[in-house]
Amino acid sequence: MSTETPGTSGGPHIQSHKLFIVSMITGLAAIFLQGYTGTYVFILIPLIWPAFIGSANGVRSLASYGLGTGTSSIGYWGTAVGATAVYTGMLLGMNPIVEIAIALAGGAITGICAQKIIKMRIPVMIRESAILAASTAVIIRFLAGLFPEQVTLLYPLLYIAVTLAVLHPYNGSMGAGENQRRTLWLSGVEASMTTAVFGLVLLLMAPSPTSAGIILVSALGFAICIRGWYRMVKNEIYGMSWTGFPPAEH
Amino acid sequence: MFQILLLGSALAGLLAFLAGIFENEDSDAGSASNPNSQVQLAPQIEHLHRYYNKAIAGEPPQNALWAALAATVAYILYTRIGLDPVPGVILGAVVGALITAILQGMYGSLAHISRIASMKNFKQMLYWDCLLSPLPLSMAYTFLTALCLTLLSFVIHGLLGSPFPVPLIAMFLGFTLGAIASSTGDVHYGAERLYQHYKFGSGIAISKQGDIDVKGEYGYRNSVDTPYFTLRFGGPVTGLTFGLLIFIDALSRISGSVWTSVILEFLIIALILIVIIFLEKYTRNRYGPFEEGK
Repeated sequence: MSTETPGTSGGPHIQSHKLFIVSMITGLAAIFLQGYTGTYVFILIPLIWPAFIGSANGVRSLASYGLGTGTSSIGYWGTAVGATAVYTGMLLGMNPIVEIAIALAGGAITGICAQKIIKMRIPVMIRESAILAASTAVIIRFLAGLFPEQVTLLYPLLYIAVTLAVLHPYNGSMGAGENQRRTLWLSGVEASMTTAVFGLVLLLMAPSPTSAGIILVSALGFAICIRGWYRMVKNEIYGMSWTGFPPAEH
Repeated sequence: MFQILLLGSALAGLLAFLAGIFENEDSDAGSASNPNSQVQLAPQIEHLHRYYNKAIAGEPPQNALWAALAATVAYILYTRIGLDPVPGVILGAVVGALITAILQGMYGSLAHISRIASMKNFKQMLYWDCLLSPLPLSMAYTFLTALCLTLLSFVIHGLLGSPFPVPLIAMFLGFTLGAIASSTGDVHYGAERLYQHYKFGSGIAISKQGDIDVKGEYGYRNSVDTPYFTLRFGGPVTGLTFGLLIFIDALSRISGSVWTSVILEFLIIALILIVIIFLEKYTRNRYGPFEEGK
């Protein structure tokens, strides 16, 4: 992620299709390498974070058209399409690429429905909902592949944890001063938090060096991303103090 | 069989009632509820506030995550530890709820700081004590909510014989509870005492929107006082709604037949609907007048 320059305007805009291409390449690589890395599968964890960032950017693109409380709905909806495609594919034993293609198509179809039937009038609706569905499908496919057994037990948690990680960066940063870079840094923080949670669940389910590795790699990613995010917060916030009263009223 | 179902219904009703209270208080401690939009609006109309702006997501998705995470962890621990069902489930639920509370605290802090940073144009300061005072309170309520919902899922799965896996039941309970707390609990946020001098049902002018986040009885309002107030009415009302929903649903299974249960529930829903319609008509006639909508 090339979010180096902090600044009030947040620097140049990263286009969502570029983020999507990066997240698809790294995400698919992570899914296919899962079978070859064995115990060292945790080194693939950073490859899945771009998919979180791409999805969060998708939510941001859609919700910045003034959806407000609809931000949660966008997260729900996009992840639901992605999750449904992956779960169906896994139960039917499909190839991951087919699952992700189904998610992409499903996202586009729901986008078309929102645009043409519900008439939401958001120009990027079809593109972003397809991106959101495909990116979340990649995330869920990868995370589900980490677990050796009882994966169906984790389906609800996989769906809802990815939903929150994807919708929260924009929802949590909403406001007049929101900008893409800070939101995407926050997305990185929450991506690593989510992979850490699944590392912890794996540790409880089948303790192994792999699960400890997932938690460690996620903690490292968390430390890096939270520094980047907090640096931007410090640059952009009006002021910070331990306590006090707002001057306007007193 | 009958006794197990009866015990299950009673336990489910009790746990649902408690979960309802705790969830409503959690949302009020973190202003994730009705005044969330007002916390967001307040600085824009020069009402600079000292509220904890938790803003994780809508109440349904966040509660679904808390419940699903706690229940998944509890189920895994329960099956791995090999204790007896009751201590195994309780121990698992406590550990699951603890992990959930920590995750909630992290999400909430990130949202608060990031949202305040986005309010630069309106000169909203970040006061650390406004985050750190209500944070443990909100986390504690999330712990209790997740604990109750996890135990409730085990009761529904075990005693009431639901065929669905525990984490799935927990996720749906989380969605349901979030929706109920968001619609029932948030009405009783304390707005009624702030706006008593307005004509009943007249709505609140945009220029007054942020008042709820700023003006307390004495000094500034904050996210610790709010649950103190809402615990007297908003919490129990939410608990009653969710508790009754779960209890009536559970009790309708006692007949043993699926279709009798469906018909019973349908009758109860029809009865509640009729009572509500008459209550609303009575209230409008008694405390109106309302202007005709155009």
